[in-house]
Amino acid sequence: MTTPPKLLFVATVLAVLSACDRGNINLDVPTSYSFERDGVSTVSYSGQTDRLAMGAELGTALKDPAATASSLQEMFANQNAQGNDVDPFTSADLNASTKSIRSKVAASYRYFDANTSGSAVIKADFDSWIHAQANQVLPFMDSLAAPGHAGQIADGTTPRYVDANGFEYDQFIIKGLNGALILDQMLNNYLDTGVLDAGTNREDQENGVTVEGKPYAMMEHKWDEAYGYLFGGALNGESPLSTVGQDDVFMNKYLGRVIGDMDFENYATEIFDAFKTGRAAIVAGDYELRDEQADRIKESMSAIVGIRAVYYMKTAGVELAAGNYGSAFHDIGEGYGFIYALQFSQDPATNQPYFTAAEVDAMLTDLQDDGPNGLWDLEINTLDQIAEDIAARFDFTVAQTID
Amino acid sequence: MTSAKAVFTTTCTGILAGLALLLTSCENTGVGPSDTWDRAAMLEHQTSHFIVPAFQAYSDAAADLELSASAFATAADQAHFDALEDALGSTYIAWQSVSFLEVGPSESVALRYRTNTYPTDTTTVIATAQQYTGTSAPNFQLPSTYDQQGLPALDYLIHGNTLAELQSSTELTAYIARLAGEVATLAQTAANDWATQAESFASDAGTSASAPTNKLANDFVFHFEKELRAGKVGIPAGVFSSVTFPEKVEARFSGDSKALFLASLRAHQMFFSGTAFDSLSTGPSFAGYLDHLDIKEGTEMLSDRIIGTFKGASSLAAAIDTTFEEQTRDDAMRMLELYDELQRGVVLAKVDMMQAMNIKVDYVDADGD
Repeated sequence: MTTPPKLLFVATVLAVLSACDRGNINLDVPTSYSFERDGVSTVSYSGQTDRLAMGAELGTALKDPAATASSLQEMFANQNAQGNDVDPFTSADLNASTKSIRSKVAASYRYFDANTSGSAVIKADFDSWIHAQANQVLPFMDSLAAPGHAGQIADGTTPRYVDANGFEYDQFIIKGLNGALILDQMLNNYLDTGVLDAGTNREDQENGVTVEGKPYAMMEHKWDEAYGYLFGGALNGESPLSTVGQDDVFMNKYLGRVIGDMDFENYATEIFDAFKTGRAAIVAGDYELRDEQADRIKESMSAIVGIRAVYYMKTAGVELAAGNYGSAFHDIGEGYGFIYALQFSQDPATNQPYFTAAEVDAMLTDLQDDGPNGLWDLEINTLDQIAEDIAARFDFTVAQTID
Repeated sequence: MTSAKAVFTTTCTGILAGLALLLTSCENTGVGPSDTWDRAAMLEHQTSHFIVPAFQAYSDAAADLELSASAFATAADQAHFDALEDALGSTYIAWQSVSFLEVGPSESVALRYRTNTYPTDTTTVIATAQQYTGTSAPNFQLPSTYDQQGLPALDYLIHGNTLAELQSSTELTAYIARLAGEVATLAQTAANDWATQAESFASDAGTSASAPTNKLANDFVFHFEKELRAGKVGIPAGVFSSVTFPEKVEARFSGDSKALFLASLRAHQMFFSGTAFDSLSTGPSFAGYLDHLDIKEGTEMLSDRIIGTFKGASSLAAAIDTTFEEQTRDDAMRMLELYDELQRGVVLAKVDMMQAMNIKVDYVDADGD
């Protein structure tokens, strides 16, 4: 089969033009995360900002001696056990919000749309940790912790509150939400082609059809909602890099930690640039470029969770060797949550998590079964092995996370 | 040594992962053939001529503080108040010589945290004091009470109230005596334990991570970095934050921050150099160890460089003519200059000294949450 020369020429020109587009010649990427239609901003992620703030209040409440299982559960779900509206927050704005953390836990399109049983297991984990915090930790806040006894234990001059096994459930919950809420919603939902391209999103985007009563088209909004889970707590959401690490208790905080390590110092800039470029690509109708940026974000955000999990295993080992149980338990509590979060990561090459739920469970079991008293019996070798196993699936080394 | 060398050649070409592996692999090889330093003699000198007498002096000062506080609770007059102030000042100074020695017998009781966690929680301390019944004190073993006890709480109650205010409340004076008693009990226990266990402590001249020399060197460097450099200077000066915290200086109510800093600095320098606690003799020390290994930093001996930073910091601090709190408020730059000099010393000690002595740093920087 031969192609007429004229058609071949046209095809070549089209290919070149298309390549030029992809070379950003016509793509207008702003210096800040600022996009407008007819002079009106099209960027909106207030729901994400609300959930980040709810998470911060939950984190504080988990250490309040007066908290109960039901008061904490109401804060987690923003409703009571009967499903009625409640006002669990100190912020009136949050009480007025119809959003909740729990409804978005393990609720992504890609991982849980056809996996409600898996979602239920995850939600039940959080419910059980809340229950344990209220009933196995808070009542013993004024005791000294010891093997088999809940209480407080020193991490330097900071008291940490643990159960009889040394578990700090508030850390499991807040760090675990980095995966079950933040990563899952960001990577597996809003940056997923199934969500971005749902329904008539592409046609609407190209024809400038906005959501009724809103300045934005649906695809733009989905992308912004992903952005909001990382930068939605920033005072200046358009230019959030100067305050990275200070803007929430979730992934923004740990992005800030990670860029403090020279090996990963460009992560924040790269992720922010990918969000801006992908958003500009949506406006320009370049979905291939959009998806390239989404893949970069998936890879980097997943790596941050891996880096922190490994970091905490290694620092816990150092503290354990020095006999600093309180500091070690706190590191392990944070690390436990980050390991848990790994099942919500996404490797863009496979669209699967870097670690399955079963693999995560196996690692978490290893942390607990070195002896009858949980973390009090934990061996440093166990921590080292978990660190090696996690790093092996990523592009960083164990040593890079701790130098 | 062959295997260690093989590890070196294969990993040295690599990146930091290789370096970490190298350090780990060297950890158990102990000192090499060139290291003929007598660790046992150094440990013996450090223990008998610094640690034990320093703890005894601190314990004596704390016992005097307890007596002065009891006497003031019985008769809250000007003379007893003056005596109490003097006793607190002397105890706080004496404390500086043992603060970096949280090893061996004093390791497990959280001595430093219970004696000198600052800034103190003034709100809770005054509330507890005003309601003190004689038996209503909190459980001072709980970590959540570290910032409600010890010398900083006493500094606040004694210097943060007027004599008239103290005279009007038997609860306050009784609680001062109670807190002083806690400080003295901890001090006496530590001094007694050291007196009885010094010999066995000094007899272990090993090179493992848990050997006394390794622990002492780590505690020295940790304290130099976290307490002398950060706690006393860097944190108030705003080095780790976007704003300064002049109110976070040590002993802010007495205004003794500068004197306490200088006492701590002097104790670090004495211990490093092998000067005996009574200043009458010298003996084998970390400095001597580095000289024995002929460790140079540039053209100078590393030991001299480290001592140079102590001296430099001492001059900079001496030139500060107010309390650290006022200095931070008036001109934090002077505090930052002091911090920078200390930081130079910390790097020399934590990296160069520890590597030369083949001792692995056994602590990590907490990420603060």
